[in-house]
Amino acid sequence: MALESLSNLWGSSVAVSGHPGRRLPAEVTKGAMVDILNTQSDEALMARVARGYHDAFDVLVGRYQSAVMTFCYSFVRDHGRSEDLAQDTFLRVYKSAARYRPTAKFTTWLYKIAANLCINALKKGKLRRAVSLDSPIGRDPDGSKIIEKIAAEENIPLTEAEKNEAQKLLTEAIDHLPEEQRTTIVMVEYHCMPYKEIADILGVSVSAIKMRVKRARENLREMLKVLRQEG
Amino acid sequence: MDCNEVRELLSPYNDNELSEDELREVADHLATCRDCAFESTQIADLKQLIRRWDGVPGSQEFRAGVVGRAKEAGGPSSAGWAQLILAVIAGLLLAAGIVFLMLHLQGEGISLGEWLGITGGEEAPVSAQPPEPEAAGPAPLSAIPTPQPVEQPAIRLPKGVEKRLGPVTIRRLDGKVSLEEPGGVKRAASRSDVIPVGRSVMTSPGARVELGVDARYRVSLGPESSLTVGTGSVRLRRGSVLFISEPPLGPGDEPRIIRSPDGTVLAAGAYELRVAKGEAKVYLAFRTEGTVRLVTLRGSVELLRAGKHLGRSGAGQEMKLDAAGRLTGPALYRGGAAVAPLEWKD
Repeated sequence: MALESLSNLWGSSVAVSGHPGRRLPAEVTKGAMVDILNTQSDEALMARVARGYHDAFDVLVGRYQSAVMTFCYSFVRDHGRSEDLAQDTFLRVYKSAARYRPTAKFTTWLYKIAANLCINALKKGKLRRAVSLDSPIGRDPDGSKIIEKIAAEENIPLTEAEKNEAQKLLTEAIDHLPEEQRTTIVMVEYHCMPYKEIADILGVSVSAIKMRVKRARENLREMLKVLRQEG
Repeated sequence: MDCNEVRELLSPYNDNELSEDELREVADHLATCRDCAFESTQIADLKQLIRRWDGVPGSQEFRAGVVGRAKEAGGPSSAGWAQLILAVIAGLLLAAGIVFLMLHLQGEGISLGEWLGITGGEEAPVSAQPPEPEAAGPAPLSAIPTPQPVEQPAIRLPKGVEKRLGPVTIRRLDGKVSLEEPGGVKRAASRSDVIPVGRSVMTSPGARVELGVDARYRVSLGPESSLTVGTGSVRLRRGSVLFISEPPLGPGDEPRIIRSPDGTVLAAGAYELRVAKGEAKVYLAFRTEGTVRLVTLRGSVELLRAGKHLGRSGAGQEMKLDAAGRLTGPALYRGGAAVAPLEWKD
């Protein structure tokens, strides 16, 4: 439904989803509102969050929950901790909504908040390293075959168990990278961020990012080579 | 550039992070150096592999929990502590100034109204209309700033499974689209749905969806399938072959089926589909009936087999290799940001 047609319906009768004080016509159902909000840009949603609407915040959380948790995971390597940090990030975003100015990309701002929270948490020593860098990877004898399969260019069908195992192995390989390389390669490959944006978020130079990506790839190749040889 | 210099740049080369000049120099080097080309292929393969990592999946519980905590926390803060303290200090200074002025004027026997230039018998002019009260509550939805137009291709997807590889919102324009939840449970997609990473999207034949910018999908094309771009443009990758539908289509343009240069629809198989944002001019290589045909849109393409130079195509030119010289083994395809072996299967 277009915004214009929605605004034509603007009248009163039911409470707007996510905000108790506002009334909307009965025709504008919660589902229709969600449909419209899902098409909105991050910046438009933030403007709505600043006005006190929780529905826009809900859409933003839905849009970025996995990306932010993965981002935090790349720092702390612990699912529970990454959830906590992602939650803190979103709450910080919510609290700061009124002060948010869309001068920079929303995601850059979002990940900057997440990065600061993660770095502070690591500095405070709250987070014990969950994985030892010396611990071996690829203990599963089938691991190498699965890696070969998922590395293949063509789509070789994997069973559900193989998919899970493949994800476990990839996570393990990423976990074994040193922190700076790990966070950077996740931003490059998972979040598809350009080097400049990563440099902005982490507060380092683009050349430092280049170096980290290069080293991360060298290390990952070594790890995966070991895994393949074990098979 | 020598091999050492090139190898330093292979990582950013594969991430499309080089300047035009660097890109050209690296590409020229890779066209003549098998070792560096192999090294670049290894990086491209590794990228492909790591991109299959699903990351940490979100959940309804997490989402509900965060929104619940936000509700408990009340509304967003309107100002920071520093701004609040400054405002209080300014208010106190102003109040002190007014009290001081009034005391001073009282001592002089002048009323505040006279000091302000308002004569005693006349009332200060008052606006006929009461001031507009500040709108209570948030502004209506129509007041939300219209998002900046983005190139958001509308694509008619073939029947099949499209696995989402990155964050994306899709909008169903017509046809049936269903989402596959964990455990294989399928549900119909709403008009607009956020698809979590790694979930699959099933489409009926001819379903039309609008893909979010930066979306990445794995699209499976069957022998009878085709991809139609309605607006914008998309980038397709199959193995190391890149194809960008060009030029980008505007909203009023006729939808266009993506075809290979000889007019056939895309070969069946799995492609990585990405929404292209103002990028263009890469290369296309397809095998058709024992003949390999390469068309370059920019730069040049070189074909090698077992290190042997088979041919080279310049910008805008077409190169044919007929059945007699057809490729049966891996060939090196050089283009844009990818140098990787092509597996031609007979």
